[in-house]
Amino acid sequence: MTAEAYGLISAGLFILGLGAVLSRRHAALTLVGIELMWGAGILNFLIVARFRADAPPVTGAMPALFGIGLGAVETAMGLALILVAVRRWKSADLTKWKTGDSK
Amino acid sequence: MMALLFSIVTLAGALGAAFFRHLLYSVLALLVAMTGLAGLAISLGFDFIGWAQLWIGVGAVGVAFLFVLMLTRGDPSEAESGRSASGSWGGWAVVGILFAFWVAKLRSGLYFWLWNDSRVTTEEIGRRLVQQEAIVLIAFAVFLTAALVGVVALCSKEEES
Repeated sequence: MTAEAYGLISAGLFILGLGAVLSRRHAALTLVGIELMWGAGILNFLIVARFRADAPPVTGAMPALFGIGLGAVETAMGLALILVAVRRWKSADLTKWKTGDSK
Repeated sequence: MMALLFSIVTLAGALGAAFFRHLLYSVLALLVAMTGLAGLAISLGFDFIGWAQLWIGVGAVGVAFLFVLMLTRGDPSEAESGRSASGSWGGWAVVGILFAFWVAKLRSGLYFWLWNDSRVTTEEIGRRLVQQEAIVLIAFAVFLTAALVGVVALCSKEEES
């Protein structure tokens, strides 16, 4: 596969994640979208590392590796915040958080 | 061939994650997409990154998501896990325009990039982590610990109140 083909997969992944973030109301589903975009970013690092001859591939592997770890941290923090918010507002609906509406 | 297979798995999983209305199915589709991503990393020659993605991105993140789904199970808003009617069309329209723009840019930018054939071994990554990237690794470890403490503090504080 060419760099272009890998790039298209990465673009598709990012776009689907962005679409999920923009169109979902449930907080956990928004986080799912963010995860997809994060994955696209990691894939981009790997594509550049593999297809650019002016730097050794391991150079691009490092940010991808740290990115995977940071992605796990982001998910843990996000899910903890969702838990706290659900306890407070009794809802995982983002529109209710925004307005401070409590059931 | 392997790359093509994993590409299909990744995009199919991402489509499911973005469009399934049921929360659990959406999370499971995300895990499929992350598995495909791990396969793509391996097909690109980054074996260690692929396995790390599988352990962390699929295993740890997946379990965390499922735990939160279990803990918020009693929440009545779980049923309304679908998309908002007005936001949905607007959001996907923006996304469609962005995708078209992105594809146009990709076609002009990446076409001449060539496959760099040297494989990245685990030994090479390990050596790099404890030599050139040692400071980053330590900072990252501190950050991870701080995040862990933050998550515990956040949840326990709410429990007390």
